[in-house]
Amino acid sequence: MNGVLQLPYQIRQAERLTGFKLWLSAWGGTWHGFDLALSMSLVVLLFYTSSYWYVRRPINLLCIAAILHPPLRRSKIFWLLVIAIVGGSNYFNWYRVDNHQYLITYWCLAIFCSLFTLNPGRTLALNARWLIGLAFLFATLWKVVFSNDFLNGAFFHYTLLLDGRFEEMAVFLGGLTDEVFLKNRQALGQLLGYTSTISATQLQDSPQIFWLAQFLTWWTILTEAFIALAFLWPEGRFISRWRDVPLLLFLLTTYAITPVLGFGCVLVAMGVAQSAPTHNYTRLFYVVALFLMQIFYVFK
Amino acid sequence: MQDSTLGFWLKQVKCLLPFCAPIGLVVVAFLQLYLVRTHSLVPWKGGGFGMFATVDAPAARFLRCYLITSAGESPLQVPEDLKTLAGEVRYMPTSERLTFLASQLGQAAGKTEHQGVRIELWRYGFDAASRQLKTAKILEITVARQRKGTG
Repeated sequence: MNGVLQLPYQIRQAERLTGFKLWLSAWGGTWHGFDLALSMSLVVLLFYTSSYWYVRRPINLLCIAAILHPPLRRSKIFWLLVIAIVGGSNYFNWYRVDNHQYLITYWCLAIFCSLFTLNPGRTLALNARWLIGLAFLFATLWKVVFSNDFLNGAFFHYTLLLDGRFEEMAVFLGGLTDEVFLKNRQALGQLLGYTSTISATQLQDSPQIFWLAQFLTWWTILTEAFIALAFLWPEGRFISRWRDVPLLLFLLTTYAITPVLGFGCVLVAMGVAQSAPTHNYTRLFYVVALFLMQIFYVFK
Repeated sequence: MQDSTLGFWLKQVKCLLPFCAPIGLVVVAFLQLYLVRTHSLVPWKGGGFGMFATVDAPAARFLRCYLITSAGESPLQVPEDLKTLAGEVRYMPTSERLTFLASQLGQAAGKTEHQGVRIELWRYGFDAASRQLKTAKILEITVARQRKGTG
């Protein structure tokens, strides 16, 4: 009886909730995965390709052209030109450019190749899953197998004491004072000075920093390994069905701290491309994640 | 015959198209791993996704340069116009790059009387137990001054 009878305000509340859900679905429904991924890729190219003028200028021109004339986004020649510029720059600066520049190049190559297939959306989705899975697989392998200072927490311990991007976290959660942070920077400066002859320098920390470093170490390993596994697992089976959850969690937690927006945005573009159309809200969540990352960046 | 062979290869290429990007990623990642192990490439660079995995970032590598004079060695600051070259040396140090940087530094020293330039490339690591940054030398090279007329 109680379950059936609803007070007027409860009915209104339920109606509002249903209306909100329908509105969200409508938003998500209007976005075609492939087209949305192409639009987001243009955003990535426009803002996050390498800063060399011979990349920026032509890429900006191409992206503006594709924004003003949408059919260009499905042109093979357009993507071939993009690959030639971005890939060429990576080839000549291969040991200088950041890893997300490589990922952007692979992503453009995936878009280009998908346009030759009968179902470009499906091919791009497959590529997106593999690229995300493989990037996180190698990131995990580096942390767990190849690095000798990550698993023991030394990397995050050092990062919390010296890296400006982690300063707020070290102060608020690690109990480090601004003075200590400054002294650590000065100690590093003494070590790196061109007249320096010292072979070691002492840093200062707080008791909480060790535990914060341990937490960050294991959080990073677990999320990255889970993403790798979920995205490389056969489609639609076991953890593959929930793959968007750890990726969104990674995007929102990682890029709230480290402002590496280029990496985050290319992951969002790939996330959108591979998200199953049956999940109404997933694409919307990726778009929201993109906006949140930009907002986080403003407050950094 | 030729047409059918061409058709066969085109079909093979078309079959491989969906896998091009992931294959590229794997090949580059293994190449980066090889270069890190054999050529001291900095793990953060090179497309192997080793960023945020180790203290050994480009910023953790540094140069100590010395001008060799008859009175001994004096520390030498890398001039602004050689900073890019010095950066490249830190990313992937090779004897050739270090030698070239040393010769450029020697030229930049100009008329200052010197016998040569010595460069040391170091990196620091973090010892969590003692909270110390400890340095280790990666490479060292000495380049004698080339005098005019001596070849």
